[in-house]
Amino acid sequence: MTTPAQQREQRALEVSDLDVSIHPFGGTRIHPVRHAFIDVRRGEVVGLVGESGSGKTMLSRGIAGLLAPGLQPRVGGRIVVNGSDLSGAGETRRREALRTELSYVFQDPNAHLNPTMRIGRQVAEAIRPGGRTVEELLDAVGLPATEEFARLYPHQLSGGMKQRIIIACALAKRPALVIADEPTTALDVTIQDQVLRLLRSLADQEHVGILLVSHDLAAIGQFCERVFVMFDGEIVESGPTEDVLWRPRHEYTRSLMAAMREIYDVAAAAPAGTSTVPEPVRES
Amino acid sequence: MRRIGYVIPLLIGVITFTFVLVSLAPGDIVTATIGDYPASEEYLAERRAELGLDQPLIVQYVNYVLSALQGDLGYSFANRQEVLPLVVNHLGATMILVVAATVLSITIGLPLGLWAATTRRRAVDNALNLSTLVAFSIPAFWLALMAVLVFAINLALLPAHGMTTIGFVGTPIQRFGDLLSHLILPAAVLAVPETALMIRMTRASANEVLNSGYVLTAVSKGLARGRIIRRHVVRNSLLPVATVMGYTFGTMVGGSVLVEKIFGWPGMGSLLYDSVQRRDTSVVLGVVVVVAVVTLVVNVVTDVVYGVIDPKVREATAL
Repeated sequence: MTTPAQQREQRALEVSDLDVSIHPFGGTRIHPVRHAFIDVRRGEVVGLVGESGSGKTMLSRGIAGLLAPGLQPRVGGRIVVNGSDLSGAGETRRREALRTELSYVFQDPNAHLNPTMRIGRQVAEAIRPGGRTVEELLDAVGLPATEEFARLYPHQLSGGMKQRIIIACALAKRPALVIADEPTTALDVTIQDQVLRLLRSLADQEHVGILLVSHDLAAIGQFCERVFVMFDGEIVESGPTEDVLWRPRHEYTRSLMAAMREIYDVAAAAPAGTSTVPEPVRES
Repeated sequence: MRRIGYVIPLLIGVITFTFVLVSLAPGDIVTATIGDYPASEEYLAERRAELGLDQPLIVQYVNYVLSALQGDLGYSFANRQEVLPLVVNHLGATMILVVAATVLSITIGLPLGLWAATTRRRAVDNALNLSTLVAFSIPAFWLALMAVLVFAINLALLPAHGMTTIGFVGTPIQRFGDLLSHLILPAAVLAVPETALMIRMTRASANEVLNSGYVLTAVSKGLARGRIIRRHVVRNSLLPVATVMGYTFGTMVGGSVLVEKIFGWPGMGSLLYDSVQRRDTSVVLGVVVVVAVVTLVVNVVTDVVYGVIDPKVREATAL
């Protein structure tokens, strides 16, 4: 029997020297990810940041084996999920891993639920024999754990609720690792925070390792223990979130942080009295 | 259900259009029935006055629309019968033919379309694509004649003409068998292009579904491929196909005119063909009106079927 402390030390994911290449239709083979490395412990939320086109999604899909077959993807390097080596694994091994060890949460919840299937069934089909019930899973993601709710169709839910359903599907197999690829980009700002808090609490309570792919540095700073920075297909910097975000060493991370300060610090940096918001009129 | 509100204006539009087209055609029922027999102008005028053909076209039109909306489609002088019962009698035979062809095209087209989309063997997909192209390109009259030549004359397997064997006596089951043997060739000929369309439609929509986010979600659950196709792909692929089926029904009734004529099938197509030759305007108009009504009914049924497949629509039309 392992203690929670030992479980935390267990590696949910270890990736080294990962290369992903694809062959888009009508083009030549390109290498969007080169020599990438990343690791996630159980119970930990790890951030993967980088600009659009830096290869974040290619990296995370390559790990999960979810790249579109039409792209003729080739994934090289070492991938170990919860102790089992998936390097060069075939389709059957890959599917087994997706059935038992690893889950993927997609960007747009509106597109990732089957519109003609009741949400309860969509959660149920991801449950392994002897696993939790649909009601328990709905409860775990903060949704009403009732039969009536499970009988709803996706179009009857809000975007945030749909994303919770997708997270419930991801938890149903009791995975060691959940890869969340920009899980809040398609959601309202207020809902974004709720979903990220949910992921954080799941990491703490269910000892799931979470790889949070995002370009939102504020969210990464708030929810992640460690962060990996990706630039042009390579991991250029990694370490504890504090160090990377506040003492960046790589030129790209520095420019990222500068850009973020420009967005977030304008109000704070503006000297008092120059605010464009009119002072409230006081009655004399 | 909003569709019900369109029915009356749509019917008037269809009647107007057909009325104008029929009036533009040279000759009328009087010249058509008398033929080359030398008749005096006075006699022709007398006959026309008797049939109400001497009145201005606009008066004839208004009279027709008003009585048509009350269910009176006029009188066929060529058949010496009211038009409505005449058309409805022929409607049954056409419906048997068109429904049989639809059932054929669905039972063959849907599985083949799904197969083409989901197979990993390129050869299968290519072969099906080529077959649909050929099926689209074959003219119906040629196919009908070839079917008669091969199956009815050379192989003598199936009857080539009519809906029943004349003077056939037997139990209801034997009579049904007789009808079925007459039905096979015309229904198959009518179904060929429809099946090709069904394969193409199903293939395209299944391909789209296979690339959808929710199929990726299903893959990420580690489900087996067959299970993903059965539970996530099939139903969602049927949605666009169901829409098209409603529209193709109308074209099938149109396409049946030729097929009915060649196989001597006693349906509305044959009736339409004969009535056009006789300038029997009231029957031509009657057939068009009945076909329009049937097509509208089929479209409403399609909406209901669509609702059964798509929960979103079910909710919206329940009110």
